[in-house]
Amino acid sequence: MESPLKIESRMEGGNVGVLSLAGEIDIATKDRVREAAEGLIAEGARNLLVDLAGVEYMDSSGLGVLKGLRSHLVESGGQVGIVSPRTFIKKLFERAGLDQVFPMYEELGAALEEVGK
Amino acid sequence: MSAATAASVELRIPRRAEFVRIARWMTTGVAAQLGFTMDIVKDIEVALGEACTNAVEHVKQGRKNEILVRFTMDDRCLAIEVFDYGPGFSIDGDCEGLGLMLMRLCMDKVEVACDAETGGCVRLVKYRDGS
Repeated sequence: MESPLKIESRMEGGNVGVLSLAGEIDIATKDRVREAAEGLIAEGARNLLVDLAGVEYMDSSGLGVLKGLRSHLVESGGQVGIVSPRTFIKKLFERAGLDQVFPMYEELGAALEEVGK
Repeated sequence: MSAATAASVELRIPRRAEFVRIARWMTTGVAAQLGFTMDIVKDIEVALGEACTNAVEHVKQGRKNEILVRFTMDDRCLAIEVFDYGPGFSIDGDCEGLGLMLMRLCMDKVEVACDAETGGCVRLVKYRDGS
């Protein structure tokens, strides 16, 4: 069965990892998100920016992965930022009480500028 | 569609992660067909996804390795029952997880039951008039 999630990952400026996701994040795809993020952390990412512009569906499986990554990075002074979430995804973060936990950015350029400071 | 002409649709999927999205896709079709707004269709999809995810994650052995999703619709509401064929479960308010919390926020009513035949059952209800 073809995966409904596409993942692109890259490093920016030495210590910022960028994950660009498109499709669906659920119980079947959450591990791929975590593995991709862990790959960036292994490359030296202290901060992660997760670009959700192309994500059409996410549930508690995806939120759980992001919470876990955040816990890990915050311990070493880093952060996980959320970029370009659709209205539905923003609402999901609000409902889960996570909209005040994760920094949210409208677009990647502004996020990179802020996180890369 | 009146109560007298209530209709049901059933879907059986293997109790495996990669099949949960098939149940979600069917749910969006049923909900959209009933005229719910797209925002509410998305809410119903999330709630159903959480119920199926719960079945996949928490039922390791059951009478059958499948999940039964039953949609029942009438003039008043859409009710979705998710049967996991597992040993059943109870909900302790103090231990309520994020998945169940999202189900409650997305739906008008969420009930949990257990039956020897069909195992644990989550029943999700969305009223068509928004009440």
